[in-house]
Amino acid sequence: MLRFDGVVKRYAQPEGEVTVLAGVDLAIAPGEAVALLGESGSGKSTLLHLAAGLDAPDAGRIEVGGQTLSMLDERALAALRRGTVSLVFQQFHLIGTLTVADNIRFQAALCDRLDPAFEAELVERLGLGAQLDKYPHQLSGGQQQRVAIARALLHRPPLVLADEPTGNLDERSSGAVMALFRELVQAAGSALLMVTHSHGMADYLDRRLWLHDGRLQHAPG
Amino acid sequence: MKRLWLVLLMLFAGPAAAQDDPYQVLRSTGEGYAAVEPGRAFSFPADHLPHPDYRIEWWYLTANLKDAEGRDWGLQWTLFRQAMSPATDTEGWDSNQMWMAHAAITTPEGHRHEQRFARGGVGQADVRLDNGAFAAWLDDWSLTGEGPSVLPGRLRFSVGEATVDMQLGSDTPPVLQGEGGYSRKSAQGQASYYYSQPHIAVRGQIVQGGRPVALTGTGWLDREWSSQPLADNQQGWDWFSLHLADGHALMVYRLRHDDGKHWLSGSWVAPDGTARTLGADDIALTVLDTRRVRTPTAADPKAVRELPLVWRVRLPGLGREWTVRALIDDQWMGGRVPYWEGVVQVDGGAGGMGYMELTGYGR
Amino acid sequence: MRPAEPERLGGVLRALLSHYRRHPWQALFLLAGLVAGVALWSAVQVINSHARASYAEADYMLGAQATHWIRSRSGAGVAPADYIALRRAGFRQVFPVVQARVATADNAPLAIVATDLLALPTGDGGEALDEADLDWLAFIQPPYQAWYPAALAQELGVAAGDRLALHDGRRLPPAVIAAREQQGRQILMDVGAALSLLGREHFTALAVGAITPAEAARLVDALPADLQLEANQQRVDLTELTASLHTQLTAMSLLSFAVGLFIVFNAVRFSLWYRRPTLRTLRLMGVSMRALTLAVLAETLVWSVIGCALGLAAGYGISLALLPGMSATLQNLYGAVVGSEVLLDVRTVALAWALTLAGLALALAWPLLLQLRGPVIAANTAAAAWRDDARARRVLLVGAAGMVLLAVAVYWHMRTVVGGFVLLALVLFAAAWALPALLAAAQRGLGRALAGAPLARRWIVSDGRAQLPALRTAMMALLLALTANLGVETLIGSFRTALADWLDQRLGADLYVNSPRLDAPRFVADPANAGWLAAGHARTGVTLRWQGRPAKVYGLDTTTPDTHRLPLATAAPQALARWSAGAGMPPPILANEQAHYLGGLQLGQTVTLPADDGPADYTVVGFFHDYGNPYYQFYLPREALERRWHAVQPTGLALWLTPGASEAAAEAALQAAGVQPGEWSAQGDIKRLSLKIFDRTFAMTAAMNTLTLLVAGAALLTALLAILHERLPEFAQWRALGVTRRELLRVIALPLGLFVGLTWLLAIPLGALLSWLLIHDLNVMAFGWSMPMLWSPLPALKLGLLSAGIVALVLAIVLTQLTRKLPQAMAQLGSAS
Repeated sequence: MLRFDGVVKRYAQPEGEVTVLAGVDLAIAPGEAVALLGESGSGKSTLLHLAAGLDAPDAGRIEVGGQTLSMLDERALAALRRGTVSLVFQQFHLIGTLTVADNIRFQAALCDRLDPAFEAELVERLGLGAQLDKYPHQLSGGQQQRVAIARALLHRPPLVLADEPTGNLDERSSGAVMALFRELVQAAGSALLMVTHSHGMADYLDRRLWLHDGRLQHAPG
Repeated sequence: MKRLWLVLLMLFAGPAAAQDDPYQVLRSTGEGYAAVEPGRAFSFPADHLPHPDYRIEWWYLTANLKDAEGRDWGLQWTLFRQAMSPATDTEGWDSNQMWMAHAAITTPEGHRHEQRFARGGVGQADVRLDNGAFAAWLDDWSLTGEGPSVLPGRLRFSVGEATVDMQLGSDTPPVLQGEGGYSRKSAQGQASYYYSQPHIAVRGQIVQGGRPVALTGTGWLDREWSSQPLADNQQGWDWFSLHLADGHALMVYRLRHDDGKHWLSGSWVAPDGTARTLGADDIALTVLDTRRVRTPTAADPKAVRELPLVWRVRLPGLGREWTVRALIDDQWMGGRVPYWEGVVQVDGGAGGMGYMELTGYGR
Repeated sequence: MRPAEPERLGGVLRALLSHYRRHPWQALFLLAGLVAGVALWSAVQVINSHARASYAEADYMLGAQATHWIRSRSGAGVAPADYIALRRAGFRQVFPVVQARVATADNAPLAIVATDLLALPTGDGGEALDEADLDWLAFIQPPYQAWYPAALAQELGVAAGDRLALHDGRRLPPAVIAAREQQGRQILMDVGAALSLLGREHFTALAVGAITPAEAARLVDALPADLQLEANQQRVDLTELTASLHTQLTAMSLLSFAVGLFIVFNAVRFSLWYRRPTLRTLRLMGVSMRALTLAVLAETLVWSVIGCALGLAAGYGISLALLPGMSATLQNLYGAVVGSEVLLDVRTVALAWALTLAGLALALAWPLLLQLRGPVIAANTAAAAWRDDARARRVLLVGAAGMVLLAVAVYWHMRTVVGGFVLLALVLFAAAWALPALLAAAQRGLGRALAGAPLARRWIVSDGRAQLPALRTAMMALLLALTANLGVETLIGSFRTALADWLDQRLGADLYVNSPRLDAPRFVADPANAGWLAAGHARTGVTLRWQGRPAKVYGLDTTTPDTHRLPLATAAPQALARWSAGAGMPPPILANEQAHYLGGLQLGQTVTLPADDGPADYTVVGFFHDYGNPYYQFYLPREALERRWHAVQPTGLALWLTPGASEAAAEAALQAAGVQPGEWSAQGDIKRLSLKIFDRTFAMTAAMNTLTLLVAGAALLTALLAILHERLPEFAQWRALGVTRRELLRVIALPLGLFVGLTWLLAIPLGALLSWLLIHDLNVMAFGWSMPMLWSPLPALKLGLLSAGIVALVLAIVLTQLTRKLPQAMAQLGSAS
């Protein structure tokens, strides 16, 4: 589902050029859930951005759903993000002018993959039934994150990329949200690559990778 | 040869560059205008009227006067004509004639002056026969004859609020200056036609501050016309017209040359009007004293000039000499062409009175 | 103050101002608003004070004082011989003046002034000649010279030495690019040149310089019977007559200033937004409220000085550009001579600074202080901004309602032009203040209407809510600019149509002759002319003063076609018939509208005019339109006029040709009667000339309008760039969700389009209301001219297109910015910002 071949990413910094990814190889199968661990600044988020086509690598090849990202133009990239890859960030980035219901449907509506039954399931399991007509600013942080999760999954994207999805939540609710998230990703049939610094969160997933010195290592489970 | 400083008119005719030297017009070639040649036959009263073929011309009157208390007064009144082009005058608004008048009075209280301008052709200023009588005027300043001749006549003008009204008369004929009226101004051939009436009896009044003062005295009329009277190397002149106590009239002038070899000329007129022309050898002029005089002009209101105001005038051939001294220092004419002209005493007044003109002195 | 305080204040100020170093565009917008506002306001101030200074010189003529005029009672002008006689009688303060209006080959009006510079009583007589290194000989000698002020020469495309051709083929003397004092936009030439050019033998008048009462009395005695001495009241007259025009311009400039302030408001809103953290940090660090307040005031002061200085400099430039138009207006409308040199006086500078400071206090200091007074830690979210925005909208709406009530009150008690502008300001600002609430309601309503529509569509509409806080002030500015434009456009359009119709009615005759040489009644009666002449109307008139202003009374032939069709604005029944018959006691008279609206004369009232043998009473039976005339005017049958006034002047002859007769025959007959070419005009030429003068007169207004719209466009750009800057992370997130660039642009553009469209729609009725007030109240109060209002959709459509163009341009700029900045924003997504 997701493939990195020798991906290199460098950033120009005031102190000189810094190589964040020094030849990363990665392969995630459809439906597989992988945790990406690493220290702060190890390049986890960069890797995620590259996978979503939000940024381009300096060398190497990235393949998502069989498509090589470097071959895609703006429009195709947008289509990819719309239907194939879903992003869940620590910030929820909900659309403030739309209701919770509309926010949940937003991405699915964009790629025309509305699924009322799955929507009902998501709403029910995320406990958002009473919030549907509210606006995001009327929700708590945890509720907002659940809306973001529902939005990312409703259209059953083949790949979900998540960056510390529970980073803004306290430890107790993070666990609950994480468990639910894992289940729902599975229900959607999506592969998942999740960046986290917490081994506890990584425990919920199938496999874990360790990013260190710009290279991936298989981390002990 | 007074009054060459008609100069001012160059200000109308000349390009800006000429303004540095007000005398440039008097040196220009005069091409296209009638030329001044020796041997001209003068005819009066016709020659009192303008000669429009010539470039410049003037009617110049000065008078030394006394009031009932014996105090000295003086007046000066001049009308200048200039043709702005050699073409024949068309009259009307298109006329190429231009007029300027200048007047001053010297009173026991001091000196004041005024200048006026007018275009020709429309009647604002002119010299002509008016119902058979001589008339010269600019606005309300006028010199009018009782008949076709200037004299006997009447002079009326005002300077500021002071008005002047004088009766003029003379028993003697005009004096033709130089060689029968042909007055040489340089060795290069510059010349003018020049005649004078040095013996004019003047009687009349000046009203100042509403108070009339009766005055009598002697006047001097100069008439001159030319097309090119100054030579290139002549910078200015010192000119004297003196009424001597013995009844003689003396006119002497020098045109100052760059090299110090000045051009001297003059005439010695007996009480009966018979005249003798004086050449360079007959005249000796010496400056006895100079004075610093306030000489304001529009461009430089604070100017001060060093002017020769005390002279020795000597006629070696006649064995006579006089000390000539300005009655008062401040007789400055601060108009468009600034110069000094005013009343002088001969030998402290005992020897007579006169007028002196000093031009071309810089600050 | 403790010793450490000043240092601390400096630190606080540095912290506050460092914001602008990090966000230079905000400084730029703040300045742009200030500069635009101050520039337009000060440009008009400069022009107004310059014009007033020129009026103060109205009793000067080309550098010489003109305390009195000597004019001919019969209108024949002053014969040169009479002038010379006066000079020879010692009246040296008298000098000749010839003034004339001619038309260029392409019918542009030109004013000619001529005098004898040698005779000008300036000081000692020679000064008139001293001023420049000019060739005086050439000025007073054929072929003469025509002096053009540089601006006029440029306008006419005249270069030094050119001989400008006139409509009738005559040529002016060779051009010299130079001007004397008080020459204004007139062409100066020697009096001899003018007489020969115009084929005249008489001066227009003699001007009289400074003169003592005793001398004046002597002068009156010395004048021939036909000439009279009149005091020069032009200074007073001009000041009074032009007061309304200057008020109007000031009002327009204040509007520009207000629109400029909107940009400042905008800029400040965002600088506030960005500086919340700074302010919070400063307060958490324990900086006192007093220090912060002082720092805010200091910042205001700094901006006011910079903005004011730049604004004044720009204003000076603009005033130079607008001055020719303004001079043309004043000369065409009032005959006022306005020079071309402008000066920035201390008063204008001080006033500009005070205005800037007041504006900044309102737009910068006050919101900043309000924010200071709030809780130290405020909710810093978009939702909070929306809540604030909703509250602000409510406050504005309440304010708008208050202003409407005030406007109604003012309307009932409005008596002066200034009052009229207060009313206009209230109406305009009430609308502007109500606008945000209206836009929000429209946005909400549309959202509701689209409840069942696809999500993508609802999303676009819903985003308007997020844009509105940022667009609020820009939309208000746009509304003001659009409304002002539409209102003035309709006013000008209505006026122009009314003028053209009126000209069609008034100028019914084929030829108009104005010649001092023509004995008009005899010419009309001459049987030799019967072949081509259908009718002739020789008018006579006298000039007098009524209610302290110059007034003309004309004597009309009651039998001619134009008198039969005299267009009356309001009239008693059978007015023309009664007036023609002279029926009733006191006898009937017609007055122009100015006498009604400005002079307070009512229909049926008795008007008393100073006739030769004492006051003459008349009953007003009708008011006629008299566009473009700032003076009072009355019509009497000619016999009635000549009965009470003896020295009437011929004021022109109108000739109707028999059908089929050639104009050439008429012109030949006129020439045979002694009329010079150029002394008659064909009807069409006069109409074209009149409309041209009209267009020039309103050139200044049109220019101000365009500038105001540009300022509003700038406000829009500011707002959109601010939106872009503020919401860039959000836009990047949308892109991460798979929103295409096109969809993103649609989300930005469509709500904006909706708001601009609504604003434009609102501006249409509002503009109509504005023009209605301008036409029915202000114009009547200011000039005394009434006219029907003609509304046309064309200006609205034109402005709609223009607004769309501005929006498109602004969007294009925003799109390039977006394209440039989005990739980086996307790369930074997810990183805790």
